[in-house]
Amino acid sequence: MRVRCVDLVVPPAEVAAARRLLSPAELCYADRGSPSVRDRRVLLRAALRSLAGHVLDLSPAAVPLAAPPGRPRLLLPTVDLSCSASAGVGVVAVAYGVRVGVDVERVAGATLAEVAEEAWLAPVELAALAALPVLQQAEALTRCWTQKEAVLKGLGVGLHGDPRTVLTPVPHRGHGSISDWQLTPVAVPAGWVASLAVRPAAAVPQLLSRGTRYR
Amino acid sequence: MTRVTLSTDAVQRPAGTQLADFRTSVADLTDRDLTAATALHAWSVESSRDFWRGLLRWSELAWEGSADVVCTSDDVESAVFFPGVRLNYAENLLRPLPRVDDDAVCLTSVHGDGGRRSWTRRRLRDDVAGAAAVLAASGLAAGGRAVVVAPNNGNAVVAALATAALGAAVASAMPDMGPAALLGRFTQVEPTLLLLDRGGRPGWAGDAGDVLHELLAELPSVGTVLVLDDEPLPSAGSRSVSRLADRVAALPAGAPRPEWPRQPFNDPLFVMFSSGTTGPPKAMVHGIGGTLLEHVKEHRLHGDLRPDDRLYFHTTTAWMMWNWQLSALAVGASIVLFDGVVQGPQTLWELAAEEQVTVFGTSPAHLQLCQDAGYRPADAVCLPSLRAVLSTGAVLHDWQFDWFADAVGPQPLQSISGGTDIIGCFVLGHPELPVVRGRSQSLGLGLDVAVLDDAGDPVLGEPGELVCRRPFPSRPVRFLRDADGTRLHRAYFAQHPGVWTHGDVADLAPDGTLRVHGRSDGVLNIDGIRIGPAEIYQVLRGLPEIEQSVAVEQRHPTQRGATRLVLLVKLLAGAVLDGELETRIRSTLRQQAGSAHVPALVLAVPEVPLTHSGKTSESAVRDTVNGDPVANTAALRNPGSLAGITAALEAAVRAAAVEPLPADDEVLATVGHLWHELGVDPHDGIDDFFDLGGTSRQSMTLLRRVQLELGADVPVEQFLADPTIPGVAAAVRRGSGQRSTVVQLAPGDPTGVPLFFVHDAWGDVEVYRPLAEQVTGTGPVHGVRADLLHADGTTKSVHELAVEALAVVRTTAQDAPLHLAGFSFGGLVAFEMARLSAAEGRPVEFLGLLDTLPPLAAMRPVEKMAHQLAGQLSAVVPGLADRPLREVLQQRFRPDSKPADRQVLDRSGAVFAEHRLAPYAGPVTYFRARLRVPVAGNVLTVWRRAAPDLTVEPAAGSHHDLLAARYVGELGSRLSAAVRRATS
Repeated sequence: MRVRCVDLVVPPAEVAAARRLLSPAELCYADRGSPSVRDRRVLLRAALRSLAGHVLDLSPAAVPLAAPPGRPRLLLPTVDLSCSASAGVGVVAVAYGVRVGVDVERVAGATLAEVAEEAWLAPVELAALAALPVLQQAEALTRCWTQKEAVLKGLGVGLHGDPRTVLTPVPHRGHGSISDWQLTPVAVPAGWVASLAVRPAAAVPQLLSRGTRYR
Repeated sequence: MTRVTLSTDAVQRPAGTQLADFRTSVADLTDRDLTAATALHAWSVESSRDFWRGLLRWSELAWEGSADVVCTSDDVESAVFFPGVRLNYAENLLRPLPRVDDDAVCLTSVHGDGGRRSWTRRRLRDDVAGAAAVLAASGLAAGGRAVVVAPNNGNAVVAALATAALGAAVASAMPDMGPAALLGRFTQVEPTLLLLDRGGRPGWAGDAGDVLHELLAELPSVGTVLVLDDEPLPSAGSRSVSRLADRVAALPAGAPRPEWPRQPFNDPLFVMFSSGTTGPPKAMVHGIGGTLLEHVKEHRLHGDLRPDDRLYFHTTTAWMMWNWQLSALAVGASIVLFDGVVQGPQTLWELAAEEQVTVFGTSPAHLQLCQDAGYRPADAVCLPSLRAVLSTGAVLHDWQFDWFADAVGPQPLQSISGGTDIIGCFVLGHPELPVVRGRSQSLGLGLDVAVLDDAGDPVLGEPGELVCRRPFPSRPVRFLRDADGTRLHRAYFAQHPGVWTHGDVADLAPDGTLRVHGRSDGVLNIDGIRIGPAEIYQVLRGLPEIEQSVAVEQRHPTQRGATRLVLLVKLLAGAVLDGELETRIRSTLRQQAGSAHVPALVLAVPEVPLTHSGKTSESAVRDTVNGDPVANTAALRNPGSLAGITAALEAAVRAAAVEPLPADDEVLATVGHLWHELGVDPHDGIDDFFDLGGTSRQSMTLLRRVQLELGADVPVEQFLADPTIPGVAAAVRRGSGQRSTVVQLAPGDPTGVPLFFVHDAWGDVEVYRPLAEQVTGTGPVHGVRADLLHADGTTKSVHELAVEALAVVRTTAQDAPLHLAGFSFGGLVAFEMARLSAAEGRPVEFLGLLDTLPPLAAMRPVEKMAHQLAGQLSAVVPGLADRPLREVLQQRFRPDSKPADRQVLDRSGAVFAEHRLAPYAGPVTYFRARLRVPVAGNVLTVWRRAAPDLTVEPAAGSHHDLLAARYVGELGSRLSAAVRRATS
């Protein structure tokens, strides 16, 4: 299991170097985005290739990644990977023999009440968050989001899955489990929160509802 | 306490009434001039001991002992009437009376099929005596308790009077009621005897899980079941079961019959029930003497009821008007009972005509049904004998008096009002006074009724709290399960010490007429359906945004006579009342409390008015939403709160008038603005949300804002399919959820076979959540949602919905066997899905229909008619209605004037009715609600024609609360078991 935090705010030369590691399809996808999105995608993808190459003992450009968009996927069994980026900070994860999902998010100023309206927190999570000291709430609910996203990405459904069906262990500072998924916090700069979700490959896939939002 | 004086210049009719006779009989007790009706009333309360003793003597009831002590105190709560008097209720109703032919018919029991059975006084007395002998042999004696479950027929009368004859107390109810409703009443009674007339209703065979079985299981005190009907005897486990008629026939000829003991005046006679704002129904014990004396007073003095009168009052055995009309036998009058179905506006009038009823009692709802149906009794039936019509149960409106005068005739229409609590009436008709449109003619004699303002002072001409300030004999002698009288005190005496506070808002005019406006104790009466606001508050406590809520009745702004439910919510800081929250409030109330509890209007207010003691002032809220002046703002701690309510109301009215339907450009502009706010601005030809740097987390915020600003619920799926500004705008215009979608309701066993609940008549599946949590032994439990409309706004047919739902179910279920279930509308869609799937070679392993009525198109004409009538009937029978009669009528006459969710339901109703059932050979399990309107036709017959392999399972509750939290436990286990059986 390798997890790496990536600085996405770098001099143009580093971006140019990173572009050289990407496949034409990846560059094409990256270039669809606005300049900042383009650079972010390039840097994140390059970091993913580097880390996967390290694990597989391949050069980054030689890592057999399926073309984007969609969940990053190796054209090899048994190795799984995931990546995420938020406001200049990226996280990439590569794991052997397990399913993995990772998510990073900058801690924003949204209040609990505002977030409650967005309907991605289950009532029990809302209650647990509300019980925390106000100063801890913003970070805790960002962590909550990253845990949900990490699991949903690990499952390969992303936003197509209903975040409310992923019940997070709110008070536990990033450690814990959600059904078969083991959660751990990922070290990222202050002001960001990142979570890693890992599930043994043998575990029975859990059926999550797709394509709907809890209302 | 200060008093107000009623005018004494009322018109008086010539003598000849029993009231005039009574006046003469008491004339020497006072120097006052009792000529005017109001003067007689004033004397009857100011000299109430003289009045009640005078009444006891004048009425010539059969009693013994001493009437020297009339009343032990002037305090209503502690006063005891006639401690030295002993009497027997049945004796007084059945004894031979001078001037009454003992061999004339005194009781006619008319059945739904037109059959009749009559009793003469002599015959009825003999039958009651025989029954009483059997009851005594079964161990019933003075002080005992029996319960009667019977329709409104002669058997019920014999059973109740036989119990009373022995000096025992009786509680009665209908066989249509479900076990929960029956147990809510009878558990507190702890009866030793059950007298049962099943009246052809299902669920009374005593089979495992049926009504009788459950009733007996929870009533261990019942040792004997006596069957009054002719159907095969039910099984009752270890209890003794026999037929009353057989037992009477087996009594030794000539053997002495048990005495009918005269019991103390305040010994128990009836146990009556009333649901309050909280807790289980109040079980009110009414005394023998109080009940009889009050009823005789009302019948003779106010109704001028005589031996040659024939009284029919439309009631069930579960309502106090049944006991009230029964007491007419004490007057020597004849009573008519009817246990059939009200098949339309004509039914009761035809009954009145055929039975030559002289005094006919009905309800405002029934009269309105006649008016709205264009039925004119005067043209349709011949009613030469009819001399008076009584109405009670709800407010009788001004125009109903006008309609009555035009469509019925010159008879007085007497609006009477009181309650179960006093097993009688505070306001009644009056034989000497004219009827005043919209009002009750007179206060009940001997009842010191006043209307108090908020300061507790009596007022005339303005609405206030109806109270009774002096002791009266027909108050409950106590409540059951209330050893120290706390509940009794809280129910009537807490508000104004020493005074009976009834819980009605009324206004009393100087002429002595009174009009009841509604409930004051917070029990809402939305066009005849009693709603305890506590139920609403309880449910809303589950919504985290709501800090406090107040539910009140508002006069409908456009429909005369109608009222509607208005809900005020005070939200927690940061919460906003938007379309989503409002929808959630409505759907949560609909699911957990029933559709009658869904407010017509939801207002967010900054604060609710509180009294100085910190209590919510519902009356101030009610006055404010009605635009009435608030009587006493000085009593409020925060009178400024009223301005907030007015502002919220005005804003809501404006919003409703404007109907914000943004134009296409406006939708596009708004969506663009929302993207901009998130820092996601299209540029250089890049228009994809994610290509522009938008994140998953931001997409949640975006969709939420779209919902707030545009009122559209765009599913994530649709957003991800086209995450551009035009794409979102298009999704907004399409509205939410174009296609059927699957929602997980409960996780279940991930490896098990999934169970799918098919959407309700709103296209929603939230209604299934409580049930889904109770289902065991299955895979994940899913709900299949749908958009009921095509993109062009036309409704989808059941077949189209089934095709869509089947497609998404197959996607989710993959290769697993198909397990489908649906409630009501959803059941019909599920049935069609099963049929389609089977036709395509993939049979459905389990199909559960949760009380799904067959569509009208599948019914034969006679079934159809019976069915429609039952629907109509449910609106006029207390306890079976899910929405006010007014709304049912409105649905027929003004289909556009309904709340949006009701419009959806009605559209679905049409879709449902039009669907043609096609045959399906696969297995079907039908869960049938036990509590149902008596319908002539059997819906199962229709289902069996379409689905011969039909297994029927009983389900607790009625159609409308089948999925309510209190019943889903049982339904969940039955459903789980049925799925298991289907799988094995």
